[in-house]
Order: sequence, then C-alpha cells, then structure tokens
Amino acid sequence: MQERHRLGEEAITRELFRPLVSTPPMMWVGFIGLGAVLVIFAFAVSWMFYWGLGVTGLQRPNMWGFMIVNFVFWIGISHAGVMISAILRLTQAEWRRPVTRAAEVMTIFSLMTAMLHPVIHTGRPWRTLYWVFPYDFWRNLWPDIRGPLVWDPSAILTYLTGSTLFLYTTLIPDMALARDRTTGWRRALYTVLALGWRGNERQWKMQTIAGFLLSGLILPVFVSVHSIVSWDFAVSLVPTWHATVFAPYFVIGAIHSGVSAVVTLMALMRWLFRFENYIRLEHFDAIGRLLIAVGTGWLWFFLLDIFFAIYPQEARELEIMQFRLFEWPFNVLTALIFIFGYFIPVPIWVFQRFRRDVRVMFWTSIAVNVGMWAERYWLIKPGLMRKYEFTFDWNWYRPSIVEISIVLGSFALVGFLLLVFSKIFPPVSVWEEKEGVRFAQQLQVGKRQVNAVVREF
Amino acid sequence: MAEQTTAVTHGHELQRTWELAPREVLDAGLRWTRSLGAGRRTLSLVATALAVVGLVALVAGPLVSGYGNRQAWAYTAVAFLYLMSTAAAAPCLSTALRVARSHWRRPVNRVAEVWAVTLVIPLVLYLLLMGTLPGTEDRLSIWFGWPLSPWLWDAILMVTLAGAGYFYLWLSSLPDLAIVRDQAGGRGGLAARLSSFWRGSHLQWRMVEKVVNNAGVLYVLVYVATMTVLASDFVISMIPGYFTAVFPAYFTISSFQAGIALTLVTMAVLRRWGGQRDYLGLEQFWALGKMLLAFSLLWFYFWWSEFIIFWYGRTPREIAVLEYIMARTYLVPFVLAFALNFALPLAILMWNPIRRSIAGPTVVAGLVLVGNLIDRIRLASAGFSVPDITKHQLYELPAAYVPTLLDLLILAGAIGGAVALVLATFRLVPFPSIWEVTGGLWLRQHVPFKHTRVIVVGKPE
Repeated sequence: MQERHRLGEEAITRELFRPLVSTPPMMWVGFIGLGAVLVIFAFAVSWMFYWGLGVTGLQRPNMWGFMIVNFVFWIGISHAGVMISAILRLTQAEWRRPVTRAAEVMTIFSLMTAMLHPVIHTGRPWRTLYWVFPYDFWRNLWPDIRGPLVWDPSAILTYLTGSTLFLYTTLIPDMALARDRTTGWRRALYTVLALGWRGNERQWKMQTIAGFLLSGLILPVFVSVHSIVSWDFAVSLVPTWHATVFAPYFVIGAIHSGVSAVVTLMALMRWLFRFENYIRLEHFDAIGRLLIAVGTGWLWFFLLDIFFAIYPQEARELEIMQFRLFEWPFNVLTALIFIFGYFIPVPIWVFQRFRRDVRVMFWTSIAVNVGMWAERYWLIKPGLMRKYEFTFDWNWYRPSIVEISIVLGSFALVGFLLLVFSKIFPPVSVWEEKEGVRFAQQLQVGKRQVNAVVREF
Repeated sequence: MAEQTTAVTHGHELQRTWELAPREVLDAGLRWTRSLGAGRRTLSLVATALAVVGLVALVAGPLVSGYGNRQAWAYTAVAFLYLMSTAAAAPCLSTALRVARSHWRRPVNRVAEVWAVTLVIPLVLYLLLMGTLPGTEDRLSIWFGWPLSPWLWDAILMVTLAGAGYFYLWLSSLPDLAIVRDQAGGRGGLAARLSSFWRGSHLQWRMVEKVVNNAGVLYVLVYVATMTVLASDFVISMIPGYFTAVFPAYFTISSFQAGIALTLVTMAVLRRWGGQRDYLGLEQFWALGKMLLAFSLLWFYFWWSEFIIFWYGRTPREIAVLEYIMARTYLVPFVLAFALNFALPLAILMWNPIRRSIAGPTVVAGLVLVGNLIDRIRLASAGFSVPDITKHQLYELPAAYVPTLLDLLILAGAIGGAVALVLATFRLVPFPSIWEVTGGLWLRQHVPFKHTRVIVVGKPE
C-alpha cells in the first residue's frame, strides 16, 4: 500500500495496545455520555415492562413500530463485519488489515442489540422464554417451521455464533501477546483467552485455516440472515411488502449501511486513538470505492422495488405507494432516502480527493445511515398503516417517548460496548498489521519507488 | 528466460507469465495476428457458414409462418437474449477485474473484452424483433404507456450499449493496435486507421489507463440498465400475472454468470488449441472458477428469492405463473436449467482440487453455457407463447413451444456469427494483450523471502 510508514514490530505493539493501558479524555466523555443515554434506555424499557405496551405508540394495525424498524436497522449494520472481514480476507485484499477487527466487533454488538428488540417488543420478555423452551411436546404441539418468525432466531443465533467464533479466532494471537505483556487480572484473562498460544508453526497454520474456513462458511449465513428478516415481511400478503425483490434488496441495503458504519467507526478510531499510522487515507479511499459500487447496487434494487410495486397497477398497491411517495411524512422520508442514501454520498465518493478526506467520509457515512434508517421505516410502516382495505381499519403510528428512548439507547448501547471492548482488546488486529509489514516490499520501476506486496498463493 | 527455475509455493507452480521477458510477450502477440493456423481457419469457416445458414433461416422464417405470428419469433428472441446474456456480459467481467486491480486478470481481460465485438448481432436481432413487440398502451409494462414504448427506448439502450461496448474494446486495444500498425511497416490497414492518433506519449498513456476503466464502468451501467429493461419487456410483461421485482436482477446476475463461463471456455480453447499456455494458466482458471461458483450460488439465491414469495403468496395468479414457467408447461427446461446453472456447478466446484484445476472450471463453464441457453429458451418461449398478454393473470396455461428446424438454425447462426466475428477480430487484435501483460511484468520482481523465492508485484495507484 502506498502510504505505509515503516514501523518496527515493537512500535506497532505499543501503539495498538495504547487504548488498553491509557484512556484519552474523549473516551471518558464517551463513557459518561453514552452511559447516561443507556440509563434513559434502561428506564424506558423498565417503564414499558411495568406498564405494558400501552405506553408505546403501537396499536391496531400498527403492531410493529420503531422497535422492529430498529431491529432491521441493526441487523443491517451487523452485515459490515462479514462483508469487510470475510470477503476481503478471502480475496486477500491488503487494505483490510486495520479494518477487520472493528468490523467484526461491530457485527457482534449490533447483532446482540438487534436481538434485544424483538424480545423487549413482546412487552413481557420472560414469556418469550416460556414460548421458546417448554414446548408442548405432550400435546404434540410443534413450532410451525414454515413461519419466518421461527427462522429468524435460528438464523440470527447461527450468525452470532459464527461471528463470535470468527472474531475469537483472529483475536487469539493478540491475546497471547497481551498475556505476555500484562500483569494482574488482565494477565489472568488473557491467559485464559489465549488458549495456550505459543505462536509455533502448527498453531499459525491452524489459525489461518480456521480463519479461511470460517470466512467461507459465514458468507452464506450472512446472506441468509437479512434475507430471512426480509421474509418476515415479504411472505405475508401486506401490500408493498409482498415483493420478490425484498431479500436481495435488504441484503444490499444492509451492506450499504454496514460498510458505511465501518467508515464512521474507522474515522472515530483514527481520531480517538490517534491511529493515523494504521487507518490511513488509502483505506478510506479503498472503502469509498467499494461503497460506490454497493451504493449503486442498492439504488438499483430500490428502484426495482418501486417500479415493480407500481407495475401491476393494482389499486391497493398503487394507493399505498402513493401514500408512501407523496403524503406526509413519507414524502419527506422518500426524499431523505434518495438524497442521504445516494445522491449526496455517492457523487462525493466518486472524487478521490473526497475519499481521502476523513471528515468528508465520516459525515457522508453518517448521512448514509440516516437515509438507511429512514428507508427501513419507509419500507415497513406505510403498508402496515394501510394494511386493511377499509378506512376505519387504518391508523397512524406515532412513536412514543419510550420508543424514541429505546432507539437512541440502542445506538448508545453499541457505542458503549465498542468502547468497553477497546479498553480490553486491541481495536486493530496487531498480528495482521505485523503480517502486512512483513509482506510489504518496495520496487524500483524506472525512476520511481513503487510499493508492493508479496503475492500469496 | 525459459530456462529459469519456477518458484513453488503451497504445492503448485507459478505460471510462466511471470517468468517471461516483455519482448517475448510482444513476439507472441504479433505472432497471433500474423499467423492464422489451420484450426482457426477451419473454425472461422464453420462459424461463418453457420452464420450464413442462420441468416437464411431468419429470412425464411417469416416467409413460412408470417411476420405477424409472434410465436414464430420465439427463437429469434432466444438467440437475442442468449447473446445478450453471454457475449455482451463478458466485457463486464473485464471491467470488474480492472477495477479490482488484480494482476492475474491481465491476460484474461482481452478474452472477455473481445466478445464486445459481437454486439452488432443482438442489435440487428433486436431491430427485427421490435416489430413483434406489442405497444404498451393497453397492457402492463414498466413504460406505463409512454409514447413509442417499448420500441424506441429499448432501441436507444441497445444502441448505447453497442456504442459503449465498441468504444471499450477499441480503447483497451488501442496501444496494441498501434504496435501492430508500427510492426507492419505502414501496412497496418484497419489497425493503422483505428490507432492513427496514438503515439504513446505520457499524456496518451495516462489518458488510456484512466479512461479505459471509466469506459468499462459505463459499459456495465448501461448493460445493467439494458438487461433490466429487456427482462421486463421480453419476459415479465409477456407473461400475464408475472409480477416480480427480482426477475431483472436474476436475469442480470445469471448473465454475469454466463459471461464468466463464456470467458472461461474461450480461455480453455485458446490454451488448448491456440497455444496460449504461457498466459492462461492455473492462476486464471482457479480465480475464475471461484467466481463461477459464487455466481452459481447467486443464481440459486435470486431464483429462490422469487420462488419463495410466490410459493408463500399462493394467490391463483402466482400459482398459475409457477405452473407455467417452472412446474408444468416448462418443467423440463426448468429442471435442466436448475441442474446446469446451480446444482452441478455447486456439486463440482465445491471441491478444492477440482476448482484448482484447468479442466474443472472449464467443464462447469460449458455446463453453465448450456444451462443459460436452456433457461433463455424457457423464458423467451414462455413469453412469446401467450396469445393474449393484455390480461391480468394467466387463466389458461398455454402449450409449450416446440422449436422447428428453422428456429434451431437461427439460434446456431447467431452463435456461429458471434464466433466468426471474434475470430475475425483476433486477426486484428493481438493476444495476449501486449500492453497489459508487459505492464504487469514491469511491476514484478523475484525476491528472496524467508526460505523461498517469491514474486513481488507492485501496486501503483
């Protein structure tokens, strides 16, 4: 890669372990700020449990509201980890090295946050356990495996297990490194987590194979998770939901928002931990180029969904599509999705000058996720509000302060968990950085020095 | 150079491309344009003969069954859609590899791009088919009754695509055409005319390296738009009740799959009979084999995304469509397409040793090309066999269309014509791409690395 600084192994270890041993002031601000929002979140959830779902804006026919929209959003964000990590690992893209760890961790925390939503959405989460575990075998009642609501937990739990294993496999060498350099409780923790890693040839070989295998295995799971989430909606006959394009459309949207979230995280890590030597401008450049392709793919599916909803010229579909596109507040959301999801960020990313500007990348990635959150709301709510044919069955959905607190709290929860993680584990993979340094070479081509990498087969 | 030892890593040999000197690449490229072997000559003759026969069948068809008989044009539509799904898709692969900046793609690009030369055939076929497409005033279509739809708008897209394809092919061949011109000592003919302004200045090189990528991206964008519209106008709107938003994506993705397959088969032919072993080696077949496996899985994913929604919806409209194109009328072509595009590629390419070979990906690519043809036969025949497309759903299932001899000749003629055009282009354009392969060689160096010797490849911006 072009702008690599020649750092020694010791310097890399010291710099990447810095967040574990020192806490910059802004990190304290983060802990306190996010912690405060989490307290509000906890209060809102407790309030809802105590008083019941009546304190939310949910009522017939709007039985799915902010919590389900947020669930879909966080599942989407979780797709970044695999997208960046597994695909780039399999294709041996060099620029993946500083990005993979943060992306994988974000996958896990956003998945956990996403899973929280359907559970608290039941209003009585302890009854969820009753619903799940003591199945009425004696009455010969079995779960209806034909329902996507049963596929959901299976897919998400498989994805969570796979992602956790994936992250853990890549963490082991760093745990051993931390074990050898710490004392006290940290040493005890890292000793357990390092699983006796000594860094011999066999262990490295097994670790590499495991990484590749998990990358390959987790890809179908990653595609299946958001597809299944989309089928929660699409296999029903609710107008504008019953669309064949939903599965790939949800997946590409998830990649769009997830990879953008990785950009946000990269910018924050670079600023907070002073990782300029690792998260370099060329990385923003590469991920920006990837985002142009992903964003354009998303726009294609978005337009397919709109066009083919109108295409059959069926009264109900047309009516709801008109509601979605032209009536308040969905007309504003439509504009927001187009502008924030595509027409502001993608034309900006076309220029290398902007792809190499961290601030521009940060704010455009935020814009994408504002657009993508709006898109999830826009996809789910209008069909549900007008689910039934007769106007006396129609209803507006107005989220209560409880739901708004839960949504804000979910962002705080993911942020807080990421900060906690970076206090315990290195947020950039140390061994991968060192490996990258080993592979980096320089060539003399004519009068120019060209950076190069050793080709692996 | 040929005597150099070859670095061995992870149990298989590096291919000889990285051992060659730029001069050897130049000689090989020029040799390719100058000497036409007996095999190439025979194949050119056979392909041209097929094209002529196909042309005769194309003229005879309407005379036999009447121009207004839409069903009689089904196989012209098949030939059109098949070439759009294979030959027109191949240059997209080249663009993707260029954008990803992989070094192994250097010899592959020319193989994929050269198929752009065949775009004139689907363009002519489209112009013929235009008259068989009904207007959109009193039926469902994505044009919602726009004036002159679908004819004019489809034609604009087809012409744009052909223009973008030829521009891309010309631009990516430009430095090589100039080499042919210069080496011919002023007798370069068409090559000289096509590269008359090229002097190889620093500015021109910068321009070509930058613009060729952008031209490729433009081609892909126009291609996706065109396939989306063709999927709608030739299949979706021809089958009443086929309300599916994912089909254009399925149609495009399966075309990318066929484009990769076509490139692989062409590579295998060039390697086996064209003497291009030095350039088309295991590295390229292995990498494209992985891509082919990925696209085979995507084929299934996009098909399943449609199927599950229809299966769960279970409205009479959805059941009728499923019965028509998958479960009853076109059951056999569907099963064959499913097996050849997904099940067999998965079953074969999931094994590492097969994927990491030359024969494995080639055989699967051959299967995919046949599978794609059967799939296009299924879809175009189904679309062109519905007597009344103004209805909102299929109330009666039309009978399956069985091709006549003329139909098969039209199909063979279109494929033969495409092959003949590619062979004719290879008389003009060198293989391998001299500027791209030598460009890679300038960036490589053999260096010692731990206990072995490795190749280091520079990656300039």
